[in-house]
Amino acid sequence: MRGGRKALLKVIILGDSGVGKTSLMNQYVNNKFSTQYKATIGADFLTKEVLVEERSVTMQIWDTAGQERFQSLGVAFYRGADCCALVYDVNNVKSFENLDSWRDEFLLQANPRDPENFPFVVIGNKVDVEESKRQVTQKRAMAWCQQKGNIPYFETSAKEGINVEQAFFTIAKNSLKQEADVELYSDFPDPIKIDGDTSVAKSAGCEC
Amino acid sequence: MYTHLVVARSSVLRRDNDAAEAGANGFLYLARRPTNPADIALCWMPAARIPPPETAAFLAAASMTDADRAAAVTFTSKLGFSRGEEACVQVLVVGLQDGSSWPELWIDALRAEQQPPGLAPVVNMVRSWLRRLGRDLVECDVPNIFFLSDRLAAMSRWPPTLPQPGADSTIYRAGALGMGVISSVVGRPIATKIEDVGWSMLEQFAKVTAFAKSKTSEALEHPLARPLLPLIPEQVRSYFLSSAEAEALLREYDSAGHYLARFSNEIQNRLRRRNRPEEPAPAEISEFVDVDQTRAYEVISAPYQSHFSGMPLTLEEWKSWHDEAGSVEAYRLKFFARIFTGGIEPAARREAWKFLVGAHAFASTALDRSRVDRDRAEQYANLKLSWQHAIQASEEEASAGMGLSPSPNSGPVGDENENADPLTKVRERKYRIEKDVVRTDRNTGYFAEAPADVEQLAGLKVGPHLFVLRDILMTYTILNFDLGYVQGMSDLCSPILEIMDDEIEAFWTFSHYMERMKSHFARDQLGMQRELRRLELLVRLVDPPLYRHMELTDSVNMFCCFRWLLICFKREFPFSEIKTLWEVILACPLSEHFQIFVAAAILNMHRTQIFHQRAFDEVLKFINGLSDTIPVPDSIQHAQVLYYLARDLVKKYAPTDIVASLETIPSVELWLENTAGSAVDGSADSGQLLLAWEGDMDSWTPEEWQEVVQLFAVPK
Repeated sequence: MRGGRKALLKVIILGDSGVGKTSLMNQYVNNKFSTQYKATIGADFLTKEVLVEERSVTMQIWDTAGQERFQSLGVAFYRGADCCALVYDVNNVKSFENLDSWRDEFLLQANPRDPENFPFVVIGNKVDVEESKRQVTQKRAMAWCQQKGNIPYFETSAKEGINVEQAFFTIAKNSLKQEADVELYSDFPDPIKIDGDTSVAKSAGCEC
Repeated sequence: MYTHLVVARSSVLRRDNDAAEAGANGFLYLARRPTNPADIALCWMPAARIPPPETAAFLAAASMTDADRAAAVTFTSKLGFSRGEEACVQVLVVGLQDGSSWPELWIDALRAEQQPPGLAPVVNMVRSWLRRLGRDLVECDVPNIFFLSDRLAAMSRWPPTLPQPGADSTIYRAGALGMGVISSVVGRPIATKIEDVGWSMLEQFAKVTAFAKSKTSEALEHPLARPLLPLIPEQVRSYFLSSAEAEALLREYDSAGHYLARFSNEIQNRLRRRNRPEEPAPAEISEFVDVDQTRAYEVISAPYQSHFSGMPLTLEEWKSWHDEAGSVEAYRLKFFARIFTGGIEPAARREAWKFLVGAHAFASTALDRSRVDRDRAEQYANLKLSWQHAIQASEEEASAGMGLSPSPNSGPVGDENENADPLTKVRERKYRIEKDVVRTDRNTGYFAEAPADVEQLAGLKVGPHLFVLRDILMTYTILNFDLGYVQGMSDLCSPILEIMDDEIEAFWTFSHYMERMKSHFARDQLGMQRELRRLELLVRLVDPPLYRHMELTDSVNMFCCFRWLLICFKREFPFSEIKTLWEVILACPLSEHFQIFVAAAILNMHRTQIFHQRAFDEVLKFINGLSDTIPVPDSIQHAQVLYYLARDLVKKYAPTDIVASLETIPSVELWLENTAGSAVDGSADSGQLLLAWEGDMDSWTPEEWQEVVQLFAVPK
């Protein structure tokens, strides 16, 4: 056992309604795309086993409703997140402009230990749509990502399965890295302290 | 409670694939409620479970000859458990209440060792009993399922009233279960069962209470141990407890038999799983010792009956209620009671719904209504034109290069900016609505894609009815401009559009329905928070063990039920069935908040599985996964039972002034007769049951009681 490290990575997908959050999640986990998804109400998640740096981990990917007023529920869903994927539709500039508030909302609600270094990933979805409809250039998106502390950026198509695997793999990798960093500062005691005062640990655990 | 024997047959053996279970000898019998002789249940009970003094009654019932049978019994209500699409057909399903089928029973199997007789003789016998009661069993194409025929033959004077042992005797308490539950009692001798699991369980309890090893009686009085008590042989029990204490405990556990039934069911399942390794055990069933079954539906429903018959209001009935001028005022009470007990038949929906949501007044005449309809058509046209003009203006602006955004298609989909100008709001709403409309019931019949030359909506080819849905929702955001469009509204609107099949009628019916629902969508979300809080309190009231489990799993915020309540279960049931549930909720004469009882009932129905979810995410996943798996009639019946239980609990445990503030509720039975009248509160049989809640009620504050009483607000 490597310390108290959990094998579960919790990933939250955020972004405006209709940008393709549910589709991305399903494309990644089930390799499927459907035009029949309903608008997400409340929240749901899917899990997938992945191998990252020779470690097998379970990714728990949370899909939430895109209308902002429903984010008052967020606190319950965001708790303990290891990574947050901010999704926008490259054919809808407003969904890109809203990334700022999605990021702020997440940091406020999830209240991570180290907000400056919390791992985000930005995903520009629906690149399969004809180029003339595109409203956000790659350059513009990457500039935003750089300004927010070098957030990794991916352009995907959940419909065609383009780049989805790569985006989520980065999410998994960065979550794990984050976890390793956080672990150093962990204030949750292990059940048995190996390097601590053994007599205390003993009396707490075994005296009946 | 089915406490009175009608007729019995001895030597009915239970056959089970599981070798350990085979050969349990028992009685098959009909039992009836003393309060309602017409309500009869089919039960099976292993002989080993019947104490010697009461065996005589069974033997007497079993040894009756036709000549002995003098007294007549009327048989009008349904027998057993009805389930299925055609809710108005009375069905005898040889199945348990949880949906599984009865174990195969043999008659006189000991005499037919070579060739087991199977189920047929049992069916023949039950049929002969029923024929004497003026009914019959009819086979269907599903094995082991029989319809109870409506044939009403002349009643024979049969059977006689039997000498009944004391109504509080153990076996009669256990016998109160009715069909299904009792049959799940396994027939193995109690001693062997104790040997198998009992002692290991006791050992576990001993560990729990290791700090007080000397006080074994405390271990047995522990709530977790209570279900075990009936299983423990008398001698053993008295070893730990003074017999007065033991008796008191058993008495408190009026429904001990229920626990036993559930308990042995679990044992059976475990044994079955162990014996058949090729069948992987469902992941959610792990250690049943964690599951406190004291509030299982089989237990809490024993003294209560639901009103739901599944027979919908018919068009013919509905038409017959109109007087010459077309007013239905005289049948107002019956209207609500009828729909509450059965929903509305599809053909009657279009007109009845307008009254149900309050779009038409009961006292209105046909002339009044046609005047209202004319005005509303005009009003609708104006509202619709206003947003169409706004969109047109915005498009012209855009094409002239003056638009705020490069294309009219680029509204934000996050949430509306309150300070935006109305024109921007309208444009953005259209974008958001179209995004959602194409994701609303697009695969159901009414909204399914049109074959050829269809227009595109939000980039997708969709059928014409989705365009109508968009127009209705857009117009609604003009009518209720401050509220705007919020996700979930399209789900609430689509069934209404299908019922009305007319844009204007659907709009006005939807608008009236939204009067009830719109608080769910407010920006501050206070309406939803109130709903979730009510559900939390109701679960805590009716099912304290489940509540405690949800506390442990961080789930008492009830966020896991957010979708249920926001759109009134629209996503949880098939499109074809949701209308019935909505009708029952809208018509409920007992409470303005019947949806909360439905939610609590669904949680209670699945409590065993929820007990096996260990964290918030697991609970949420489980609940999301229930979508499309829950039968509507069961949910309604459970919710109705839960309502009466909750009310009884408030009356018994709330402070006096709170109880005094409870409104009198109407009697659904009297309303069905179209007679105003209030219900006599409380079930005569519930007294014992309610005692089980005693230890859980200390923590309630007056403020919480005040909140919970709101659940019983009667619609005006």
